[in-house]
Amino acid sequence: MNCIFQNIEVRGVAAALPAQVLELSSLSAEYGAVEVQRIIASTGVEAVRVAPSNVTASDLCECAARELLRGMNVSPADVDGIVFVSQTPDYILPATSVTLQHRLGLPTGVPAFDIPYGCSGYIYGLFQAALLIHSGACRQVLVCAGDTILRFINPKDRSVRMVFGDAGSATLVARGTGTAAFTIYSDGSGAEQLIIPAGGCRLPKSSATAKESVAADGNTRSAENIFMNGAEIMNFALREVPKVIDEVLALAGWPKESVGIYGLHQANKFMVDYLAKKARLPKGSAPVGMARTGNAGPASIPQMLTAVRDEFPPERRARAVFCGFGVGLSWGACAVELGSTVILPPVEMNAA
Amino acid sequence: MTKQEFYTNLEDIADAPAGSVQGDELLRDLPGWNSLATVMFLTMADSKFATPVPAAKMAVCKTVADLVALFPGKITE
Repeated sequence: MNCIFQNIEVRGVAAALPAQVLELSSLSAEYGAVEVQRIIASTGVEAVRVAPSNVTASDLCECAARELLRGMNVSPADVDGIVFVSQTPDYILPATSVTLQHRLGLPTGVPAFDIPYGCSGYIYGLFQAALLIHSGACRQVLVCAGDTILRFINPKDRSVRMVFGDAGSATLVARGTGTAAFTIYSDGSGAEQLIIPAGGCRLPKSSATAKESVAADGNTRSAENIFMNGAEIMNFALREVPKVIDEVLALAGWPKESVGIYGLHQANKFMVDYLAKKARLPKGSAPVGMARTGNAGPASIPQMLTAVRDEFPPERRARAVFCGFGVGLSWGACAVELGSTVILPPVEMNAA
Repeated sequence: MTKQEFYTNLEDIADAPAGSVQGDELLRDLPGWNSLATVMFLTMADSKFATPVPAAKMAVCKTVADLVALFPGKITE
């Protein structure tokens, strides 16, 4: 799917992080100091943020949204659409976006959508907002993207424990004069490569799904924990990410060198650096901003934007390309203009 | 790429001492052979050989020699 809009503006971005920090070096006793240092050196993740059990992704997104609306002096009454992108909703039902409408004080006239996507989710969220605005249904849409994925990670699964972190974000998308080009793909044949098998209607939770076992990769998990086939995901990213970036650039009509910032999904430093090299992105244009937060799933791109805001001032991010890839499998890229976008510093959220 | 160059690349990826990889080693015995090293190996295959290695093929490799066999005709003596 390729689609370009000429009337979309990203007005502002904010991110909220749980105050609790897990220093990965503290896992040395569990995994061995050498192994931990080796992983930190490759992934670039020194610490991850951990939401306490009483804080959900929507709480983090709410915190980010309040900060954003306050920082931009925008009244909740002037937001007329909300999209919540997360793999960790508050409930099976109702949709978390509806609860956020109420909690944020948005008008009851807003359409509210949940999009249950992960690492590609930010692109989906921006796309949904752009559609709502372009259709004339909305003028200003809040895209809340976040996960508290750590509670689905088995502590004995080092393949994911030392990479993922919890975070929430909020992005205000509005009618304006900017370009927003989107290229989006889905391939459900890879659904099993990144999955939490149990807990939905296909495989409800039971004593059997809670039972842990040692998998072929040597890590311990249950069917209620997240499983990621890192090799398959890497192959998928190598195959698709450079292509989708080139496609969205062609759609926008932007030369590769004219883009100041490429916001790649912050899977880990090794992957971001390698994908940037493979996609032949201009040197230094694909920042990594996850050293102290980890891979925040759907919030990883906006969280990164808040982390590197000082290195990428407005003139350097006048043209931006985002690329998300992961669960589904799903992937996409968007080209947007951020020269007048307000990007706030990340805020910490303390549990009540 | 020569076999020796391949071994040197593998030593870097698996954090093995220089000269320690000779071809017959079990991958599980390499100090840093883990899921992350597997991912790094795939990028090495991509950058040096422009050859995607299916994850299922990687998963059944037990030895360094098995990895070499993933690239027929591309690694010389």
